[in-house]
Amino acid sequence: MNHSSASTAVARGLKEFPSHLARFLAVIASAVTILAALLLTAEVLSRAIFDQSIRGLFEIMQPLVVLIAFLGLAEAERAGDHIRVTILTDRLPRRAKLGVHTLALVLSGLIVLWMLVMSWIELDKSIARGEFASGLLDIPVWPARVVIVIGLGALFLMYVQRSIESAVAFARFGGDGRTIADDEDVTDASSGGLL
Amino acid sequence: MSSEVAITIFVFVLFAGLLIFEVPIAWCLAISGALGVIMLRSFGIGSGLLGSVPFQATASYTFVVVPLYILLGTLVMKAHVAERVYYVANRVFHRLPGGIGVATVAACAGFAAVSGSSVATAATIGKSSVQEMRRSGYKDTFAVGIVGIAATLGILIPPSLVLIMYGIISGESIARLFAAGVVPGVLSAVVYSVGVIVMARRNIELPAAGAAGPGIDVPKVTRAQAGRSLGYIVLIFTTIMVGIFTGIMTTTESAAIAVMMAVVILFIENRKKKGRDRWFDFSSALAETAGVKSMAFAILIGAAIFTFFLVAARVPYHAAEFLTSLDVAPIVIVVLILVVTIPLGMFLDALSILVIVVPLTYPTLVGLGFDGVWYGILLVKMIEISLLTPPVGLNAFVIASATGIKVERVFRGLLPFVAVELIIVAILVAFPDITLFLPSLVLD
Repeated sequence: MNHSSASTAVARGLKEFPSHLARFLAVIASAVTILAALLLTAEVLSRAIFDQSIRGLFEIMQPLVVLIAFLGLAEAERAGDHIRVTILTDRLPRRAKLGVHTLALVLSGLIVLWMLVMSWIELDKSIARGEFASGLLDIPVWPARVVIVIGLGALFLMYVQRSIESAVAFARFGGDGRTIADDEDVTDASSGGLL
Repeated sequence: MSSEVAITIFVFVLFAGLLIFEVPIAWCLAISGALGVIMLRSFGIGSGLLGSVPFQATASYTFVVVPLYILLGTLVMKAHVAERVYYVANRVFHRLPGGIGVATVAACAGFAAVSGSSVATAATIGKSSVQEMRRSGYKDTFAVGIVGIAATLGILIPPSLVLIMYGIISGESIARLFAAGVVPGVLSAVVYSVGVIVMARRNIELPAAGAAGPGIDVPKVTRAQAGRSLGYIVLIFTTIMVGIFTGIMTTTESAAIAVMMAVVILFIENRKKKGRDRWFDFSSALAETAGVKSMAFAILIGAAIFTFFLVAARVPYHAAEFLTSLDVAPIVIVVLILVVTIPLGMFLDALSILVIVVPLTYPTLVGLGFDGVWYGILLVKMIEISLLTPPVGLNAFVIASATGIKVERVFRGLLPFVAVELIIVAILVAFPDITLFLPSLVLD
């Protein structure tokens, strides 16, 4: 492999890293959803058969919910699941639409970055004071906070990737006054349809 | 104008501005709420919310019900339960005037009993049923109108994701909300069916050759498949309801057991497939729902930050003060709030309406002596209307996409059924016992 093809492969790898990371984290989130369902089913069966609850299930379930919630965030952005209102932008000329789209991605990235920084500070505090969720089992809170930082970090990377892609498309595109609906099959005015 | 009011106006303008420029609603809520708190209190408190709320708003045993019901709906959809139940309903009702339309309503009600999503119901039943109706001479607009309205049962008949989210945001019991959804759900299905029968004469013509429309391929259903699918629905719905009503298990646990049943059902239905194909539907259900689950939680996080601001700015208090100062009967206030959700529904989706309307209005209505569960059901009915009205009625877009019929014609077909829906809302407003009878009977 020569130098230029190797650097192209590295560049492509870097470009695709946020998407690969999003899918990987989503797989973990999905597996944890099934694990949560199995644990809860086991709890019901345990109560019915042995007249005994699984010790600490209530406390175990809390970090699992955090995991399900945050490890799928980047995948939600990748798959277009986040609910956004496109009623105005769908009617804009293509170049203006790309411009607004880029701005929305940059703004979203900045908001998530702010949340990421503040979550990191909370994580730091949590580790420093040895924070526990008390109950039948004393479970440390910091692993759940690590998951939040990972989830928000992956989402931030996804926004960086998409902002760059959108900005490049905006820069390359000439203003011809046509609307995006002229060229695309726009069938949905807002996303998040599964709900 | 006090600084509190000026800040509140700024926050709402910022929220609306970010929203119409495509920023996801979760982040619109989070940032406008946090900036509002910064202006009202201090940078430290507002900024700190962005770090603390993501954990506080998600680390809860109860919230695991959200991903479980999202996964349940998708697993059942992958097992082709909806299409097969439609086959059964068609066999039962096809002799009635407008029988295939009534069968579509019945099938949607059946699928709604295992799925919490209107859009999923519209997508799965829409294709087969519209083709069948067109083949039998139903006008395009009538056929899509029937599917569109019937699919809204997905978020009313339990399990319902919208009711779960309402329960989380308002603090009402999800079990009570589920129980309260049953009778209005059945009533709605009956009224839709009557509406179909009444409208049938003017909207059904002699079938023309090729009326089924091009390019739609409906899978064949055997009696055994149809019978099994009906059994699955009865099994899952009974498990959820018996669990809740008897107290043997919590809403969360019944969701988990329903998911495990759906996994088994999916593998039973895929048993003739080989190797990796047998796992494909299961893994794709997991992949498709991973992002949706996180999206729902992101909205809950944003809503929690925004609600913190609303409470800090005493917006619910001011809203209550304003509404109670109106020289009208309390029931008129309920009607006013419901009417306001109609224009909101023209621009926002179901979850967005909930996170904006519930924190503002729920405390007032409960303070006026109305039942929060009853209000939740009424709000769901209004959200159903938002799924049918232009320009963002999601059900219309999904049906247009599934059937190839232009979305303008779908909206036109839905119009008479919106009127039917408003009649049902009026009945539920006038007679709260229709909604509250079952939860009172089995849970109080």
